[in-house]
Formats: sequence, structure tokens, C-alpha cells
Amino acid sequence: MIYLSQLNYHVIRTKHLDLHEIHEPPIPMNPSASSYFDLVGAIWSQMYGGYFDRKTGEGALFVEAPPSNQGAYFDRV
Amino acid sequence: MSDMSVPIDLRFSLIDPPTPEPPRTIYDDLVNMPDPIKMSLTVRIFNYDDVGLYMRVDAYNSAWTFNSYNAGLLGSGLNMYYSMDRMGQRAKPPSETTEVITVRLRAYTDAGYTILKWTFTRSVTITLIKSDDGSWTQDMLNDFDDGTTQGWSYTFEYGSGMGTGWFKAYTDYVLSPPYSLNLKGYGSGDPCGWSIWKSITTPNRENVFAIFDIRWARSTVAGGELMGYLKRMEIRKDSDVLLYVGRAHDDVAVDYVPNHRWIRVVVKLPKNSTFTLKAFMDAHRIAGWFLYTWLDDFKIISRA
Repeated sequence: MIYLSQLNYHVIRTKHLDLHEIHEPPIPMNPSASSYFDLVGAIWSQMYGGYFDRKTGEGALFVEAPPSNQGAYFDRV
Repeated sequence: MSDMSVPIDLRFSLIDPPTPEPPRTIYDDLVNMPDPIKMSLTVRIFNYDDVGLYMRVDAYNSAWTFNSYNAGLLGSGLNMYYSMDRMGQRAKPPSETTEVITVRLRAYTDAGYTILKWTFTRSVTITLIKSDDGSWTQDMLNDFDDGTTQGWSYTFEYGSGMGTGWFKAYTDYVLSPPYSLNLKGYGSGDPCGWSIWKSITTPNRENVFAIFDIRWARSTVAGGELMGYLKRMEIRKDSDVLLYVGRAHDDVAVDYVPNHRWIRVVVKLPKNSTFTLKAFMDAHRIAGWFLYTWLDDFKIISRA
């Protein structure tokens, strides 16, 4: 048995195929390649909180041992 | 340009062969960048040969100087993400610049990289915008200098024993004083993943970009012992991965994403849309540890 709803679906689907080209699966909208850039080419050093960075760490300016790992410094170009 | 007769492939997208590689562009904003600018790149490498091959990646363009990287052995039929820290550098141009670089993948049959079997090249566009040149509208600036989180949130994505030290505007590492946004968390399980995110509505202009100035870290103990390693950073628009830096999770004691270092990531966004924009990190834990994320001077910019 063929139901009316199936016939309607068939008509709509056929019309769709007649009016549109067949496309490849859509490519996600993401033109970005995976990259990142350095922000630490030079250090803009400004005292804040009484001391600079901890001793280690790239670009760190070591002035005196901070009392904890909460030493402050500013990375700036 | 690719050669389909060569059984190796190098890609900048997350789309697998044989689907054609769509065009991809590396974006950056020149404002507040050092001179020279230093670029890092994550690629995907495929080996369809019948044997394992030793992969080497480099690139060339007259304005850039590039390093060469030995990516090691890639087994037959396998593929891998490969991240090249500070792969290339060039003099900082004074204005917006678009150029094309050629990235080259070479496959060798020996661990000494002396017997070359295949060469594959693919082009990628680099667009260096200058967001203060007057052509751009700054639609959002989150500098956290009012002492608030300015609409950002955080999520512990997976891992056991995760908890929050704090999530607030903080002063220890900043790009524009006095504050940056800082997440301090902790965990005891492996792997673990976390993210910071914000709901964004983009303007109705053709060119919309998000600029992340971001810094990741995992803790050290007093003697400097590393207690975890950063494996993969993703920038996501809802569940879509816009950018993938690093490599798939492993238990190797190596970072694939820079630690304790400010980096800039720029992604193109769809116009006139509302979504969650997220910066995600996957990490390998080797002891109970603290995890950190900083964000400063986040921007949404646009132009027609």
C-alpha cells in the first residue's frame, strides 16, 4: 500500500533534484590554519608588586627571589 | 600544490584525504607583536606508503626564515599532528601583509634522514593584519583592568580531582596592567582538560576576527620538577574546532604547547552569529598539580 504522504514526499524530492546541483559534503566554515605567534620578543619590564618574575621562565627578568610563585612581571613588546 | 601520486600528505585542516584540502590561512595581528615576528605551526602528516617513513618538515618564502624539523618515524597507514614551535620568523612589516609560503614534507627511509623517498609540498596563506590601521572596528576588548572577569567563565572538561583555586582578574602575569584574567585550578587524575570561554555575538561584517593573547602553565615544585605537560590547545566555536595546536594526548614528558609564555592566536569567525568561543587545553599529569591559564587584551575586530 502506498500512502498519500509517501507520494507527496516523492514529488517534493524529485523537484528538489531537478532544481539543484549535487554538491560534495559541505566543508566546515573554518579558514584558519593552526598557528600561534610569540609575544615575548622583548620584555617591557615595569615594577609591580615589589618584584619581578620567579627566577625561571622564558623572558623572565630576575631581580630578587620572590617570596612565592606569585611574583609579578609584565611581558611586553 | 599537492601531487596525488605521492603517498604522503601534509595538511593544515582537520579534513582527511582523499577529500581535497580546503584553503587555509594563518592569521595574525601585528599590533604589539615583537620584531621579528615568530610563527609556530601545527600540521597533520599522513603516510599512505607500504612502509614506515621518517618525516621532515620545513618551509620556504623569500620574506621568511624557516627551521627544519625531524618529526620521526610515522608508520604505514598512520597520520599524526606535528607542532613546530617557532618554525619561522620574518621582519615585522609596517602594514597589513598577505603572502603565501610553501610548506614541504619529505619522507626518508632511514633514521638518519639521508635516503629521500618522497617529497610533498602544500601552500598556505599568511595574512598579517594591523588592527590599529584605521580600517578595523574594535567590537570587543577584554583587558580585565576593571578587576572583573568581563563575562568569561571556565570549565573543567575531564579529569579527576579537579578543583578551583581561583578564577579572577589577577596581577601576576599581565600584558596591560594592572590585571589579566587568571584561572588557577588543580587536579589529580590523568588526562585532564580545562577551558575558558565566553558567549560571543559577532557583528554583521564580512571579516571578523578573535585575537587571543593567552598564556598557559602547569605547576612546578620547589626543586623545579615538572608535574604535568601541555599537549593540545584548541580554539572552539561551540563544538567546532577552529584551531588545533600541539599533538594528540600521550604520556611522554614533553610539552607540545608553550608553557610559561605569552602567545597570540588569531581565528576568523563567522559574521552575525552568536556562539560560545572557547580556549581549551588537554594535559598529561604526572603528580598532583596546579594548572593555570591567563588571558589579556582579548579582542573581537571586524571590517566590511
